[in-house]
Amino acid sequence: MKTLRTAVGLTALSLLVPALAACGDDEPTLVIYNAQHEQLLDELAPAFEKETGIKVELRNGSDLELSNQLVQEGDASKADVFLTENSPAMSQVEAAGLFDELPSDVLDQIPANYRPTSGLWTGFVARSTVLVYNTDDVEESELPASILDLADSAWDGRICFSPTGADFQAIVAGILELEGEDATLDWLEGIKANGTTYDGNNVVLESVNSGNCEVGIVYHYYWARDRAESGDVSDHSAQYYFGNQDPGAFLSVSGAGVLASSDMKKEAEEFVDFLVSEKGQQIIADSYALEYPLNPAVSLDDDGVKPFDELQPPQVNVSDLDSQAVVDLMTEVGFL
Amino acid sequence: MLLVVGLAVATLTLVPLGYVIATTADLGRQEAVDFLWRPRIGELLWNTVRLLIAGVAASTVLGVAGAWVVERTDVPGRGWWHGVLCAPLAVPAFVNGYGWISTTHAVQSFPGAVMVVTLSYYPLVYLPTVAALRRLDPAVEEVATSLGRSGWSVFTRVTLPAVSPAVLGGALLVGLHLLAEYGALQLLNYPTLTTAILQQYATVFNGPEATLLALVLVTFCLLLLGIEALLRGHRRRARVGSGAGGQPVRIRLGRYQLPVLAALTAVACWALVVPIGALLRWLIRGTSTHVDLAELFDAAGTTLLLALLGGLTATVVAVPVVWLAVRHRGLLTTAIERSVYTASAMPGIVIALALVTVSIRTFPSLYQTVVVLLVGYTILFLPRAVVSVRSTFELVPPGLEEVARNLGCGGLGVARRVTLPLVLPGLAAATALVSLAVATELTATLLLAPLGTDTLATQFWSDASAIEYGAAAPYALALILLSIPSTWILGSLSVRNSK
Amino acid sequence: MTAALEIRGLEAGYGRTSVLRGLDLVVTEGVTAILGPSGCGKTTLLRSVAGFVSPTAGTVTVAGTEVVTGRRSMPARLRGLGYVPQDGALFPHLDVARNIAFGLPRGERSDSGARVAEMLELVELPAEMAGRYPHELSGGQQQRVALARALAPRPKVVLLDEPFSSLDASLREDTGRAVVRALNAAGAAALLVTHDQGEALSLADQVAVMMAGSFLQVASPTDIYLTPADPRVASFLGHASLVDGEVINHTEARCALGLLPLRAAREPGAVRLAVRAEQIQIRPDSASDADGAPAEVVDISFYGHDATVRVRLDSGEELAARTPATSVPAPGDRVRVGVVGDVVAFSAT
Repeated sequence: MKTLRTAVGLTALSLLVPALAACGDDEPTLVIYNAQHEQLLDELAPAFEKETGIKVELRNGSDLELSNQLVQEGDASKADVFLTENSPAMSQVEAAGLFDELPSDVLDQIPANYRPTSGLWTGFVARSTVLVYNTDDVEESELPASILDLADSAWDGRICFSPTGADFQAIVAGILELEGEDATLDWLEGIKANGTTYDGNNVVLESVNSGNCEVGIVYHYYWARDRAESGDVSDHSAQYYFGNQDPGAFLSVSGAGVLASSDMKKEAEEFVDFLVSEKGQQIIADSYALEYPLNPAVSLDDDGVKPFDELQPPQVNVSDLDSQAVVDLMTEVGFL
Repeated sequence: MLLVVGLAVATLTLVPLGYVIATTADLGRQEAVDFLWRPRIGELLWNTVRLLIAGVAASTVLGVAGAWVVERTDVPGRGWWHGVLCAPLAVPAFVNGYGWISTTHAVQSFPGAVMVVTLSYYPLVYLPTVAALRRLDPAVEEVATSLGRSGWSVFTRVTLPAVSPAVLGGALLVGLHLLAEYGALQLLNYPTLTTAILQQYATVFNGPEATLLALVLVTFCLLLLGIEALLRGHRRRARVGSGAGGQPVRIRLGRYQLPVLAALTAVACWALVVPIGALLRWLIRGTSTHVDLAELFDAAGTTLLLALLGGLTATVVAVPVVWLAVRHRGLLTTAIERSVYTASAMPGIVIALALVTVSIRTFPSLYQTVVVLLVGYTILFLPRAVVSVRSTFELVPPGLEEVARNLGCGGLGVARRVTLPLVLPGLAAATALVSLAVATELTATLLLAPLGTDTLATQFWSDASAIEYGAAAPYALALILLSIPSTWILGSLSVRNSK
Repeated sequence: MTAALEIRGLEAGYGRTSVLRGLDLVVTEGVTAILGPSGCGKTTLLRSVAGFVSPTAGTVTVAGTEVVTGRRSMPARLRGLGYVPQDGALFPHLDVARNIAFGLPRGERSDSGARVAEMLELVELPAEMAGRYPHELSGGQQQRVALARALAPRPKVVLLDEPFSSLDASLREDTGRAVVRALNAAGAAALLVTHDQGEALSLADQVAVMMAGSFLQVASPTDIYLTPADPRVASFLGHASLVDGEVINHTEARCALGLLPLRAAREPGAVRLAVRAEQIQIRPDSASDADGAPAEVVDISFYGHDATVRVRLDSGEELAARTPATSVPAPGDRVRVGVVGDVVAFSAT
């Protein structure tokens, strides 16, 4: 009995030691707080390591988890690079003064629209807002010309969306920037009255596909990825791009930035440079992610999604998106 | 000495509450009132309250009814049904949610939410109730029968009051879990205070409103603790006299046998077949299904290790807390025991951010090491351990400890040689129960674990939120497989003859 | 008059083990004790009557109503029997008054104060006890409350399962007497299961001695004691020692203790003689006294009022004798053993 206990104890210890040692590793590694889809980085990071010989470690989480964590950590953070899915999380960390300016040769690879004027971070991929509609219930010709039309009573009880995700917030920010506060408030109240709210874009997609609601507001890649995965929740639906510089054609940007507290700033900048370079962007374009690379030299080729140059998004700069005003409006309407 | 340890534990578990209060203080009084006094908050409160009431009630009814059928009727295959009724413990609530949502949209409603959380959490009532029924002196029920009471009357008037402390303890745990539940409810599109806290963090990206809502959750938790204490009362419910023990008289189901079997089968299908079936369907249909065995085993190994360490840590920490509360009953010791519950009603993100803030400033060298992660797990899941340890502690008569003292044992000697061996089953149950929770934990693991730590839960979420259901399924299935031993331990400990 | 309880050919068992092997018993009134060693089946008998064990054969009739017929049995709750288990099994969450009122019909329960007071008086407990909780009572008080609870619905028969075994000796006798008085006052017959012969003989009107699932003898306490029907009854009750002997002239038998008169005449032949401890007299061995069989003292149990002395006769038999406290020998002493009064003879087989 005693020997058994000792054996169990030793086994537990021997398992514990490597786990503890993993964090005390002395070899310098680049720490990336990654809120982008982990699968995407699992392709990018090894390519970067291979090219530069710099070791990369990921801490994965969602935008909200990691940006809040960074703000709490402040200067003591171990992170060198921060990657998000949408720009508001970048803006939060930027507002906390935790980013360092990126070199201009890094920034210049991305069109100025898709990075803040401060130069403290840059976008590296984008996703387009689309309508996903149930092909059994709705004809494409019935779909509205503008996302603003969804607030009309004609769409009462027919739409659904996920107002609490960062994605939706980015869409509202786009509308606010393009249409102004009153119009945005009217629109929010209209779609609240007309629609069902869900928590999560994949739930929206699922509900549209199953006929629970006719039309949903999501990002383009949800439908496209499910198409590629199994078609389980996309086989009775299709997606519709607004185009025409409509607020509904808003492109939301995933950001990358280097933290001021980093002790490997050079390597961190190298990573962001790789991310926006033609090589890195091509890896993204070829991956399962189906998001649009932002380096004009690279384009996304996939049957399920509309080519980038046909999207005709509204012209909004990421620095002009006013998160606080969006939150105030959404709180006023009662989405939050 | 013991008191110092107890106070230290209490302080630790109150860290998140301190963080929440400090962060919320940034918000002016008027701002706080404006934020709370809105229809949206009313809606969230109403949702939370009715889910809490209906979920706790349904879990209690299902748990107690299941325990009664297994322990007090002649239903065929009792051992098998006991196993089946424990098994949902091995299926995390969010996996159950995924399974149901991919089966029918009808669950995206209040009744649906109640059903899914009930199917996931009723074993927390079932297990202690089965154990209490096992321990109950059958003579008490026999006397009631001989006095002319029907089976139902004996159950409500005699059996239920006698096992009520166990039922209440389980119901309290269910209530705390419902307050903090996020994954399953998000999938079921059922907004509560906790999902709103997550949304606050996601959209507002600053703390005060979120922590203000967390304070509301803590208030609910205190309310639950109060109700439980009130219902438990001061009266003694332990067996009087030595008791003969022995086998209880089982009620013949007769023509009710088929309906009872049908109900048990329905529970098994709804709680087990639906989620596991959905996972298998993903596995077969998904194109992303590529089982990277090395990664899977790596994540499984990490999960197992963390679950085991988390379970052991929480159990070790629970012992002094319970010891104080049971053997040195007083206001202070009761306060210590109750304080461990406050943190568990808050979602993992609040606890994790509190620990990020505190640990990076006080012990930067421990930040993002296993140590802080284990502290996080302990704070989150200590109530599970305390409830299990306490139920066996109360069964050890102090007389035994007095005898041991008389035989020359010191305080620690008594603990090591007499009390601990006797409560060992309770410690094992506590470890198993906490391990189950740690294995499915997501947020604290993401924020606090050492770099490069992948668990089955983090991998599952990562793949599932990227719509790679086929890739996610093996992780969820591995999680279920990994949870089977703990569930088995809990199941067999609950029916161990504890006389 | 219908018997309060009538048992005919009752058999019961668990799986293939037979525990009750065809029992017959009639209880008309008063207390009937089922006396036997542990494991003889007496508790199974009680539980069969109560309805917690299903017998395999036989009938049980309570006040004219058949509650068990072969394999069919009436549910326990409909039998109208009082039941007092070993430690009382009071409902720990109810106070004394609500414990007592528990079995009253629904209508009577709401206004049970008078009945509770009556019951408390019956079991000789003060009325203030009504508000106490079980854990605030002593063991003896708990048993009295348990009896009051059993008697409150006015059963014809009360079943008592070793009700006094957990009480200490001084409390046991008082509680036992009080219980019998209460039973008599309530007019209920009782079946008392016990392994304590003193309890059985002193409290019961009728004693059934049970061994290995059968009754060896059912009779009044005096008959059981004075004319045991079986050597096992004799040795179980009152420390009778069994000695081999031979009947020589219908009224006397010869054995290692000399020539002893028989209580009842029987044919000559080999017999076993039951000699009770208090019949055996022990005198110091002295040269002048050649009466009695020579023996050596093996050991002694001293009780105060008397002592039990175990001796080994030189011829090999061992006997137990009860002697007054004033003349107790020491172990190893040489003694002479004589017998006072007549003895009961059984066939030698």
